[in-house]
Amino acid sequence: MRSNNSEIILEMRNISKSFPGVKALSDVSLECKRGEVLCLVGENGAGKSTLMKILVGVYNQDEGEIILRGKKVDISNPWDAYRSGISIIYQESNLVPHLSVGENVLLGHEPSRGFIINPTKLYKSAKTWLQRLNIDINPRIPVYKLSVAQQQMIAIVKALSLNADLVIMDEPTSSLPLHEVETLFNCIRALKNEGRAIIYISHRLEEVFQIADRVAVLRDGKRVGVLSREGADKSTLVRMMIGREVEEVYPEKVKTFTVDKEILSVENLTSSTLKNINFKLYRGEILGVAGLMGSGRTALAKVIFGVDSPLDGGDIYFDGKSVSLKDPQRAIGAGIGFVSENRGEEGLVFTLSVTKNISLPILGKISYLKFWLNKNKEKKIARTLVEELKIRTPRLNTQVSYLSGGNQQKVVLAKWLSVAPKLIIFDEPTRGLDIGAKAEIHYLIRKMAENGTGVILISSEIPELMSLSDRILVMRKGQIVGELSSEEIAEHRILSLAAGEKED
Amino acid sequence: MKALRKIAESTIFAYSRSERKDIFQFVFARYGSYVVLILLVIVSGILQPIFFHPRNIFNLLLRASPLGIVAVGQLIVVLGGGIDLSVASLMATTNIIAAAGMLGRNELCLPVSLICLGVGALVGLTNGVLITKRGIPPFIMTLGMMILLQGIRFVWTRGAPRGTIPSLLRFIGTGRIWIIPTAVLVFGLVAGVGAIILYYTTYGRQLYATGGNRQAAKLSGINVDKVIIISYVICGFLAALAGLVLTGYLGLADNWAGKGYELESIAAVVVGGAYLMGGRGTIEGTIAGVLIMSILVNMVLLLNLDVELGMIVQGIVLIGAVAFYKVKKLG
Amino acid sequence: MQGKIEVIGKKMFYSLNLKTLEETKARQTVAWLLLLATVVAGIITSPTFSRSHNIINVLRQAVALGLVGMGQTFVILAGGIDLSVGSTISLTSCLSAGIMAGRGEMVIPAILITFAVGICIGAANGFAVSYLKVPPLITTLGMMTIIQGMTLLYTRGPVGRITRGYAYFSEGYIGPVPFPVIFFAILFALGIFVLSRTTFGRHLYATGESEDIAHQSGIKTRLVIFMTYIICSLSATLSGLFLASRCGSGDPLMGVGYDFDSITVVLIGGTTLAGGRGGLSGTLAAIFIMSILNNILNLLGVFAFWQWIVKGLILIIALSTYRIKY
Repeated sequence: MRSNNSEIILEMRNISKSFPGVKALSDVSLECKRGEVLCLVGENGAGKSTLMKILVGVYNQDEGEIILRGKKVDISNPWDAYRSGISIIYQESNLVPHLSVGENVLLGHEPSRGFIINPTKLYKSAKTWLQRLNIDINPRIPVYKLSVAQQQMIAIVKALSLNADLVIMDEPTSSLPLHEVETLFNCIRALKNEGRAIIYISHRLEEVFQIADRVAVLRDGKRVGVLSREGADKSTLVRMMIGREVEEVYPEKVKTFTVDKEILSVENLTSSTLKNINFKLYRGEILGVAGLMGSGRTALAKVIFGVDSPLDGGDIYFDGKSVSLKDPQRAIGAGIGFVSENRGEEGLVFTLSVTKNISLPILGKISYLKFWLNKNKEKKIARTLVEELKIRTPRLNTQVSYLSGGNQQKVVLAKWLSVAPKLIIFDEPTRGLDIGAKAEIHYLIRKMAENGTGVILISSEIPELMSLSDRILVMRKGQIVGELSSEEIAEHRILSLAAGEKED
Repeated sequence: MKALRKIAESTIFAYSRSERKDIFQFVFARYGSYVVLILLVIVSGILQPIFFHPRNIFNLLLRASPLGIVAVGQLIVVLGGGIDLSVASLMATTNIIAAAGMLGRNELCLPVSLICLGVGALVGLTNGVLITKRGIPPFIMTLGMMILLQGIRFVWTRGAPRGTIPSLLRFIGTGRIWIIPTAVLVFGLVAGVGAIILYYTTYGRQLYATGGNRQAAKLSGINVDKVIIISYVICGFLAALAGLVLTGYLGLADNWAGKGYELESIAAVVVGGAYLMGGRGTIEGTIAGVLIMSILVNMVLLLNLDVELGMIVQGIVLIGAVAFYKVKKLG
Repeated sequence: MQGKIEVIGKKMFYSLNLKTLEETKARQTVAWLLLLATVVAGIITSPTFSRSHNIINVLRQAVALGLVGMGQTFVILAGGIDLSVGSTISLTSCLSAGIMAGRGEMVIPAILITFAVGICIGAANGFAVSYLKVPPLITTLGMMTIIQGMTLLYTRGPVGRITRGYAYFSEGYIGPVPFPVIFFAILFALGIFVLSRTTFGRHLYATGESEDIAHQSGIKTRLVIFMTYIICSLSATLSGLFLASRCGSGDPLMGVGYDFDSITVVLIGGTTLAGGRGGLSGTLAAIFIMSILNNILNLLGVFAFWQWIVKGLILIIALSTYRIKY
């Protein structure tokens, strides 16, 4: 039994991979045994997902080799991975919304004779797989009618249906409510007992301790170490993940804020995704917003900034006046800035230079008659901000796509500083940044608040919220379910509120 | 040896293979069209020395001018992330209106030309409004507009267009001031104004930003719909202007005047290094693209080859250029 | 009894209530309702419309557009577009008639050569789109010009002559039904079968909806996309062969307008341009709408060029009422 269980199924040796401008992985080795749950932990951007995407052939490594069941394999596309018995569950749903549950589960390996699909067999087989995980969903309904959590479960069933003996799970719980996490863990244990190997990626350490046999830690694209569960404790892991003590990265909140002039007041805000939101924000205050993905955090930010969802009711008072911010132009005009969660898609224009990105929201102010650009003025503003924020860029007219993630994010901040906002909303401002860049962004956020700007900070990283916020709102299903003052802020309370569990 | 290696490492070889490929593609996308243009001129001169004859150069530039004018319009639409397939049909429509309206009288030239330009701008406005406000994909909208204009043209002329082109318009299409063709002057003016708008005004900047990343531009307070609509209006206006110049060049009314210019203008823009996804491209590059496309056609004629061969070459150049310039998605 | 009728009536009402239907299904339903309206309009405006010979005529006229519209549906479902079908039709009609040149022994070689050329065109499109990653619009626009050039190099005017036997393809009857209609019906049924019941069809939908997701699911998306262009140019080739048979000779202008028409029928039939949603049933309705409209305009003796205006307006109006973001 023991010898069988310790058979090494996968070995990745000296894997390296770089993307334009970034070394994502350098010299990473990893091995995984049968009947084992190997947890892969690390901060955002540590290279966990990249490593796994190499393993399943979405990316190809620059250097290094993969050895599967003792044989060197060349996995150059997902098709190869499936045939070698590797399957993966992604963080974001990889289902086709308009195909049915059953069709999705067996997509790519439908039961068929030649080219012709056998639908009866397909749904029967899908049903069997669903039952194995105790999921009571009709395999014939289209996937887009399911909730996010249900979709995630279907994605898991899909990965299992390949009968793979190596299953990779990339943060599968990021959109699952807690009781379904337990179902998932039971399922992982069942797989383990069948002798399959599981690589489980997470940055929630509680989960790691619940499920892992061994823990491998990545940092900045390098393997920092592998620990057995017995040998791992929380502080060691965190130190390995971030490379220094927690207190250094997330210093204790220093209380500087005192209630001053009210800058924003939201009353009974209701839209298609939000229900009856009420809160106030004061000058110089950092208001944290916590919640799971899809809890309405981003929707709230976008409503205040005037993008997308139109209001069904409620009032927004900004700077003492009732305002209706129907589009970003008006919001910016009123003095609101918005650092969105996805700088690649919503924050920066990658084809433009640093200067031109910074000046985007103030084009009207740096031009004659709002038509003829004053390029000297533009350059001067950009230079001042680049120096102030210590943006590391070769030249002012370097295209932003050539900067590192941290510096790109600083360009986004510079862009909003150029309008001198009275209120700025941050949505996941440090996602995907390394520790150093994170600390710099945190410093800038604090500094903005000290200068009297009202700050709304949305984040999934509880330590970040705890270290920066004066108050934290917790959201769930489009509603505010709790408000914690700085004295009450504690990680488990935020999590349980966000997940909708009873407080203990 | 060591020194040599150091030198190598300090240059382009310091980058990894994939990075080198990126840099090469980037440099090529920026300067490739000029290199190709120079090579093409040299090769043309060797293959057929007549190529450098002033008469041939004159003809070449004359033919390139209407294409250049449309291409500037097309570039502006492409920069905003769109595409306009209705330009050729619009050129033909302008031709019909001009021929029927001017009746060969010079004094009617100006008012009828203004009507034509107005029609062009109006067609562009319709394209732009329906594309942005109703979410119709640009190429489907402009394809529909192409057929619609074609139908209106044929119904109106009953298939047999009439009218004469006045000498003033003929002068714009074929004449010269000193040694420079008038049409080239018009093209030069359009390109110059275009360059000023793109590089020195807020609108130009907004256009580049909108094409580069529409969502980011919108969140930076740019009215992206307005920017896109204006780009189609400019394109329609310039297509009408090109139609007028072409009418002067042809000197007759033709229901199919300008046929093929949609493909040629897109090809010129793309060969000139613009991204079809929007956000990157220059007037200078587009001028090079226009010259490349025109020289190709010119050479087919000079070498006494079938005109149809020119079409085949243009098609291959279009596909080849896009395949070659294909730079990896940034970020 | 009264109650029962009421329930049935309610059920019928709800099955037609577009808001309760899924978006794509709703648009397919709209296409069929439009077809119904067109038929009614035809019956009202022209007494000859409902005569059997006219209906058979409409059906036969629908074949050419039907064949190429079917191929275009495959391409668009996979997220692409093919603007080169019109010139493919022209080329294949010239090639087949030209090689045949009235000689019976050349019928088979002519058809084979034409198919080979059709496959080459599709392969070139598919290769450029799926392997060189050139956007479909540009690829097929360039290919359109290339094929036009080649056709004009081959002939500048009507060319060749078909044989009497080959005319059966367009003129023949099986019982009271024209042979081409039966031929088309069989192919169309095959198309529906392929889309709904084969792995290829399933993978096609998945690829059209999201190439990334399909790729991650182990589907060979490049091959799928490649195949759709082959299918499309094959269907255009069939259309060209059919038109050559109907006209008796080939013509370099034979396919003019078919690229626009084929895209129109697919989009009006409810398939989304972004790919992944829709299907052949809506396309079929739209094909009949177009051919009935043509027929009505002819019967009413409306100037032929009005058709372009009507088509352009239909496409623009239809798409601007769909009101979805592509």
